[in-house]
Amino acid sequence: MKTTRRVIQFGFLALTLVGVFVVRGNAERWCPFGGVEAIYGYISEGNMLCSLGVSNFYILGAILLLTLLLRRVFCGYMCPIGTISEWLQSGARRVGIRPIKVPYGLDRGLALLKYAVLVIVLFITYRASELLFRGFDPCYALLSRHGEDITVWTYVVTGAVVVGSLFVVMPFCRWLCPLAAVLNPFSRFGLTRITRDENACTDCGECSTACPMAIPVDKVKTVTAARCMSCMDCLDACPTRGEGAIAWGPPKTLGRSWPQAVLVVVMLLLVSAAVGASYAFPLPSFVKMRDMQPGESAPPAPAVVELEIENLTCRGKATLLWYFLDRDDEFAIKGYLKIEAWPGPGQAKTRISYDPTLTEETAIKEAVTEPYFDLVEQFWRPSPFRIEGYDPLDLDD
Amino acid sequence: MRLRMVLVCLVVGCLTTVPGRAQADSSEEAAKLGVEGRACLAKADLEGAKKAFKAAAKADRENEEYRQLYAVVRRVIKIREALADEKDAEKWAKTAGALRGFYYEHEIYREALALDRQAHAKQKTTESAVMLAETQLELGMNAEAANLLGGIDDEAMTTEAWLLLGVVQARRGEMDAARNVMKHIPKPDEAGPGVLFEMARLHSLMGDQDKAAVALTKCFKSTPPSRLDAFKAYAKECKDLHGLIAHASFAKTMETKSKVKESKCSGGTSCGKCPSKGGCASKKKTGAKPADKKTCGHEKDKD
Ligand code: SF4
Ligand code: SF4
Repeated sequence: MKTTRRVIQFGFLALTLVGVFVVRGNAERWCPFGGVEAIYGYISEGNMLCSLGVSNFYILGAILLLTLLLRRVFCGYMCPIGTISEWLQSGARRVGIRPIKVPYGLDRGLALLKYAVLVIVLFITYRASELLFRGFDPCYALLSRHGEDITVWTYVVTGAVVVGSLFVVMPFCRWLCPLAAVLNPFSRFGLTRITRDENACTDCGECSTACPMAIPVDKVKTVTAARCMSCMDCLDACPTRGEGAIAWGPPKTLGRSWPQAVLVVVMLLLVSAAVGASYAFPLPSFVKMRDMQPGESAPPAPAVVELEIENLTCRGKATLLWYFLDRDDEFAIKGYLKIEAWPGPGQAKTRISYDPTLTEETAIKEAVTEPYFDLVEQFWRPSPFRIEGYDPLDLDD
Repeated sequence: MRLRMVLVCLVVGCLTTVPGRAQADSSEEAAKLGVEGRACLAKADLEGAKKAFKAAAKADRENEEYRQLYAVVRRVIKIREALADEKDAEKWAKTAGALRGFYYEHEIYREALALDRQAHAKQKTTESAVMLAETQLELGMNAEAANLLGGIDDEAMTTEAWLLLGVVQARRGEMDAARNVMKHIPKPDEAGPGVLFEMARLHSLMGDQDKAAVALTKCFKSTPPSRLDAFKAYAKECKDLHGLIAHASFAKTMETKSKVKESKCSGGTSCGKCPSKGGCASKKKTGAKPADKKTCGHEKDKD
């Protein structure tokens, strides 16, 4: 079982590294915690935080469902930080470093820190509408290829996690990870459990010793602790598993363990579904609509123009695009106006809805590309946007 | 065999160096045209600038800066033409404001002067007089500015008008009159960055470098971080501040940091300090931020 888990961990880590360093994609868009950070802004204002996309919501949804079914398998099988932390610990054991056994009470106390981290991160992120904590995030250090906003603190935290992992089993995951704080309530009610048959159990305590999450498995009949990540290390360690002392599955399956393949199949299915849905149903990550003035009403059938816009890379640029559309000079668009955009590298899809009785498609294109004088800042803003198939500058005439 | 190797190397070499060389040539050509365009702008030759920036944008199509300069100059020429025929007073004022913004951005004060004169002739308000006086001061037309501001009734004077009057009086050596103006000026704590800058100018011209340093420090503190460097650069060049520049406190004043909270996302033409710059894969060359070109000493107070 351990080998299967290692293979899956390796697969996800390799996928992440290839995505980041070979494909050089924006791996942040696949981070479930990004979905947690972005949800408030998306609901209240209709736009995602910078550099995130709606794929974060799909992957978050899949991970939450997965946690409801199989507990914190994300941590035990998929998360790169969890994997690296565990592997560092195994490496340390091999060279003779014994893990420090943190007293149970202290471990439980420290575990509360992650809720404080979650509250602080979300409060500040929601208020600032920016990912201000990225500069402290060890995962971001890996995913961003040393992105521009990486600070020395990123590496201080990362270094602390790396060194800590050599001496304590998964310290970040147990005590500090805000995603773990989000997953825990779901995991608490998770469908599958580790169950122990007290009649077959010899009370050797091997399961508890093996548990990376320091759960006292040998003291309970059913592991309800939210931090269980269905890693099955306790099953592996149990000398009387064959006699049914310990099993994994829905609680009723006492003594009859479900095969780990069930977990693997469900996990891969849900993750693939989330990735597929991100491409099949790509919700816009920036939505904005003009407030209607008194006496104005939305047209019964708004016209829609879909444009491929270059340099619409992030939320900031999408906001700027809105300013260009919502201008009040001779290129002003009258009446109803709505923008749905999918900012990203290269050409970004943008859907603009307008009132066809008051404006026409060319006017939309002109509004996007013509410079305007910013009255507040008192300077000319040239448009950084280019529309595919439309060049207002006619450089070749 | 060896000959074939040499030939292959030559062909591969040509194939790889020729496009690179051509690209370097076109970038150099574009840069030259860009310099030409800016020189035209400095001479208020907008048509010449338009032509040069268009050619630069054509020579280096990947360079956003020339495209954007061309687009702006082309647009400014259009609104300048439209201004002559504009009958609606409100629209005229708005368009003139945009045109003036362009002239100030590129320090074309002669054109701004003509425009401000036209605006003041039409509007005859304290605001239009202040704008005209501001440009006159830029051009060193102190007597005209003194005349203009001195002609405004006391009740119609605004803080800005008093400040400019003080500056022009101090420039002309009328120190008692300038000192008299000070009683109309708000306390530094109540003023915005534009007023604070003018206050620093006035104090410095009157020889009170400590007060000038206090006003300038407060001015820098209340300037958004994205604009601070440009503001400081302008202050360093400002002739009215030469007393302060020579004073011991100036170096410390220049170290002042902004206290204004500003989103790290520039949302503008350049990604600037955007936290996602590393991740958003926006690798396009972008133009200089227009805000950086701003002559902050002349901006309106937004408070
Ligand atoms: S606790 Fe957090 S960092 Fe650790 S494995 Fe789970 S998600 Fe990853
Ligand atoms: S209880 Fe068992 S399955 Fe759960 S985390 Fe501990 S060792 Fe893994």
